[in-house]
Amino acid sequence: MEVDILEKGAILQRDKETFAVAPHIPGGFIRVADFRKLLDTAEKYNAAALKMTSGQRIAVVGLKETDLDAFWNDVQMNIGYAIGLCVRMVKFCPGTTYCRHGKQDAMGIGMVLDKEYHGRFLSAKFKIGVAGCEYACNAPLFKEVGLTGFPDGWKVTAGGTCGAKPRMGDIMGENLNDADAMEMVSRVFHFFEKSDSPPKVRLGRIIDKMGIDEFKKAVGV
Amino acid sequence: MEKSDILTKGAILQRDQETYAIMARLMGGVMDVATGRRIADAAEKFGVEMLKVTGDGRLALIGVKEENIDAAYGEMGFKAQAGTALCQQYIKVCPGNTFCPRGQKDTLDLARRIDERFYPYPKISAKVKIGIAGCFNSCAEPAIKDIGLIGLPKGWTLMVGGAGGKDPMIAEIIARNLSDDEVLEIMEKLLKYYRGLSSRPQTRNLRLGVILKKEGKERLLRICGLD
Repeated sequence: MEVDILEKGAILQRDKETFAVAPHIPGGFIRVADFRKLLDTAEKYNAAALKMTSGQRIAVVGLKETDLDAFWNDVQMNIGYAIGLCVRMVKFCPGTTYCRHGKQDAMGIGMVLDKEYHGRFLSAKFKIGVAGCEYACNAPLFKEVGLTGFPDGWKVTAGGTCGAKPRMGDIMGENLNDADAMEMVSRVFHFFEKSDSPPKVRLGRIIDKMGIDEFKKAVGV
Repeated sequence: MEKSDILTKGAILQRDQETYAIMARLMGGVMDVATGRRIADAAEKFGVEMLKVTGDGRLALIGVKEENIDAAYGEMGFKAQAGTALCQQYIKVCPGNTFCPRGQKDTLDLARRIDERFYPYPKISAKVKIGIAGCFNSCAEPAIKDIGLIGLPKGWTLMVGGAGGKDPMIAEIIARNLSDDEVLEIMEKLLKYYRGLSSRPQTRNLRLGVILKKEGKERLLRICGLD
């Protein structure tokens, strides 16, 4: 039976025959020239549709298994880890680069975090969100690690989920500068990486089980 | 005069206080290659270098000059006035059982029906975000939308009052096992009620979740015919 092909970032579709792939587009920011290349490649391999995803990617839907390698070769983009037990994405907003509400450089930090963490394998899915202001347009509070930008620095939250059992993240620190916020992300990530929880148990569940005080102690807050 | 967002065109003023971001109007975030090309053409024609897939799965063109907004929409084949309601009433949809093996329900079709019936729904003074997920995994994040739907084998679970932004709230489930038609009927009542509250000063600009807390779930259930 056909299944998802993780190493090719290919997600089996409903027809049990074709696949969707989601090239890596950090933060969803894509230059028009690259977008065109994506369209051309999608057309070349007879994609059924393109879909903007919740992970700020553009999924190319309906590719044949035999075309997957050629697609990746032609499109010249990296694999986006839309599936599997790993850091699924670092979602970020335009921050102070484009948005007039931006209080912190969400795009700058987002790009750094993306480079460091995107695709790292873990025991469960792990999502990171960075919003440049308190309007929080990518809902960082509902990610495993969320950064929200305020005039005096970042608020970092941990343990959010938005799936079958939604959970708001707990505050790990406030008014943090860029370096301290990234240090906090690192601590939470490494706590989770080292935890011996069974597969598919997300961070929020672990925090609920051990208690927020214990968790904070464990990550050194 | 200082510039601001142009709500009637769904144009968002950028940090440079000069150019705007506008959104391609894509039902459920799905497009074909030809539509993508029209978007790329419009972007190039009007000097846009960067596109952004947003947190809600929309595609934004960043850096459109005010005088080019209408023409850019035209080039893409979308109506300019589509913008406002798009901002206020965006429907975030997962691929549902059209594409996804996990999908239990046809999310894209329900989104189309909601869009046809309610769009644009005028005179609501706060944003109404809708999320439709075809299975329990909730990739369209219905729990943090004003109106959230989860497709399960026996029908739709309807939840109300979620928000993911400044004042986050997890939506409350108000009905289960609904058919497509039942969802539309309840939404009709809900939006009518919400529109009524929108015209009163004390309840103006409040998100549905705040209304739910203020007025109580019982009242909401009664109004939606669910008591």
